[in-house]
Amino acid sequence: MMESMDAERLSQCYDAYCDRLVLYARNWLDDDEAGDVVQVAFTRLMTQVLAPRNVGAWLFRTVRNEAITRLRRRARRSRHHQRLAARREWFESHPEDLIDSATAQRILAALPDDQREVVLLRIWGQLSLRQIAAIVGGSVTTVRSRYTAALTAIRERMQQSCKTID
Amino acid sequence: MKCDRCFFLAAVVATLFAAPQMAAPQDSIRTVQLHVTPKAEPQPALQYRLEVPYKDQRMGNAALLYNTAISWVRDVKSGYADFDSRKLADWQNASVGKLPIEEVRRLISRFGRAIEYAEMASRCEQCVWEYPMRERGMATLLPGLSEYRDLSRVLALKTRLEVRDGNIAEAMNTLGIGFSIARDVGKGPSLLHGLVGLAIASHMHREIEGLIQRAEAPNLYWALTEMPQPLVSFHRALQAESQCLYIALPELRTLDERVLSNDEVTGLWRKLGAMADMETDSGDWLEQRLAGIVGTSKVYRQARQWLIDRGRSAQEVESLPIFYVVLLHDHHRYECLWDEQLKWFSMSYWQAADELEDIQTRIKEYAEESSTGELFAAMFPSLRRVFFLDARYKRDLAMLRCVEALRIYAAAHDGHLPSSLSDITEVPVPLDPLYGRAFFYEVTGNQAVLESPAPAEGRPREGLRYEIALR
Amino acid sequence: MQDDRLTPSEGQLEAALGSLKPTAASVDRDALMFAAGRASTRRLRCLWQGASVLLVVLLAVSIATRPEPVEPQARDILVAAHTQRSPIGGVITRVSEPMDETKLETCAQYVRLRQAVLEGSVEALPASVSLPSGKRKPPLNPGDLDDFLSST
Repeated sequence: MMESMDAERLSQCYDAYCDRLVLYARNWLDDDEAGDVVQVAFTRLMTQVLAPRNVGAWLFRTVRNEAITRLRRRARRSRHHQRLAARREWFESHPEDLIDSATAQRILAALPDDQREVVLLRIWGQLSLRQIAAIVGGSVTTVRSRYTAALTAIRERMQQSCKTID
Repeated sequence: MKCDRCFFLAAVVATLFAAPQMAAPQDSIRTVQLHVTPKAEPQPALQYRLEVPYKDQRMGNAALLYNTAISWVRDVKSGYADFDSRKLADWQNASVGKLPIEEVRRLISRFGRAIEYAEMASRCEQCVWEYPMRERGMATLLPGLSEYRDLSRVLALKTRLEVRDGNIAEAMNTLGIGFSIARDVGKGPSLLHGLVGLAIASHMHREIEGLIQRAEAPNLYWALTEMPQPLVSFHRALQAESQCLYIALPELRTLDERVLSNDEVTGLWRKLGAMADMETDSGDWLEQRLAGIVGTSKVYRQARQWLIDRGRSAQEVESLPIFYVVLLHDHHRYECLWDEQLKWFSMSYWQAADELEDIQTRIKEYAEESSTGELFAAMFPSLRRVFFLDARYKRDLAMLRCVEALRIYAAAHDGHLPSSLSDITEVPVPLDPLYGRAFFYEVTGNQAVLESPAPAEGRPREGLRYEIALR
Repeated sequence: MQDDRLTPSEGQLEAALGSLKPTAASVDRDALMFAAGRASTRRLRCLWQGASVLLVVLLAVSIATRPEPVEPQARDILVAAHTQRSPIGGVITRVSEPMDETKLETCAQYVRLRQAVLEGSVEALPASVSLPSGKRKPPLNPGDLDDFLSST
């Protein structure tokens, strides 16, 4: 049932999504701006008359639109990849992690933009391929292709990473 | 420290790759171990065939000979008190080492006449069943389908014994008969014919898994590739099934032209309920459904608005019988949902699967929204399942071709397997038709895994995994 | 996440990546809640204002375009054969018209069988898909034919 958004619900959404939304926004922007667009998205959420049926998907889509708008406005696409390299850690680092967080960040940053976006939405956004297709545009089939290609690339680079470390 | 990290990563990656082999329990993905020898393409390339070539075909309509074959099958089943279809199925699922060989031979010999007529039928140029589907629709009787299933099991066992005995040529001939039966039964006018055709072809595929493990077995890549594609087509059966409703209820064809009274519509719904195998035991089942359909009910208002949106005036619509208005809307939705499903059958499975899932959801909604729409909805077969079974068969065929492609590669590369399927350049390697991408392939030394897991809409055992070891 | 189209190793990789936790966001939670609350208040005010304006507009339009009264049309009235009534007053008649019961039953059999085969496999086919009535005679054997011919 559709409900309106109130402070309590907003607080719950913040706890559930904020960190992952910022990670996603880093696909386009540096840390400060990533935080800004996430704040804009939450603020807009409170202005909706009725809460979206799927709040998570709505938030990711809003963050995306806002991030791309800012990027276009400042026309800094040529420095996009430099920004990706010059950011702080994306993931927390724990000894019990199955995958080294710095390696994962490096490998993700090296992916093509469209593949990385799908990976972020899928794994950390926990969205279905159908929801992702609705956000990024294109068919579910295209999204799936990007996703499996990304996983293949990640696996290969992890193996290479293993071989090149002395 | 870097070294420790590297080893840790290596262990993780190795675990990730090893996990599928360690984790798959026996009741999940169907796993087959194949011990095969490298084998190049035969020369000439089509020396071995799984279909009767044109030069060996005979004139005539195979359907007549098949009917005779099935009569002989029925005679065996009714004439021998110890015949048991279940035992036949158990034997078919058992490995050759566990079969009571002499008992199986005796059973096969009882079906000698049936096999003889089936072989003659397999050589016929055409197969025309002449079922009166256009006249009788689903009331068309479908004799013999279970007999075809049993006959195909007998042929599968016959092939297995021939392979065991090293009679490869005989085994190829028996497989050819089986595939012909699959193709021809699949030409029948109903979905059931197609499904039985696929099942028969699958029985033959399993025997090919055994045949190619014989050292003297030829490479069957081109024999498998050259078979009719598709072997079983659902194209006509789908159209026939979509029309069956109109054969039984011809008044639906002229709904737009002739206004039906509420009485007539009630009678039509009653027949529809009976055809759709709805729960009709309670005497007033239909009255209970219709009780809510009145001028103010949602289902009527929606139907009314739909007619107005199509250009009729509110005045005209309100002059029509209430049940007729609802029926028009229900029927329109039924037609649209059929066409929505049919159109996707022209696409590859991996392109259409999500769309068909959506349509299934819409059919459920259609049934839930209208108590009379539910009667129409019950007439839909699960087309998504049909599509999946069709694609699964094509997957099985593609995987067999992959195995044969691996054997060809190994023959040209000193008995070594390729490190990836894309290394094979001798013959085209088929893609996985369930996913539209290459099969999962992984090699370790002279052993390889070739796999296609079942998608969400299938069951785990409908996935297939070949564990291939080169001799 | 439920997409099982991934291979087992892809699914494992997905799970391994998913175990990584994003670093905490640099978004000030308190500032966010304040800004969101203020935006919500503005939204409510706008809603009331908008609703009022809309009502005024609708009233003006309805006064200007009052429709002609419509004569009620006669509707089909179903003749009661039984006493069952719907809540609003319509009645449903029980229709007794002849129909081919055998044909309908055969259709229902086919629908059942089709569904059973789709959900299970061809194992669901009965021992023999036979006629709903009548007995099949066994085919003639050569001996039977000789007996028949010699008896005439």
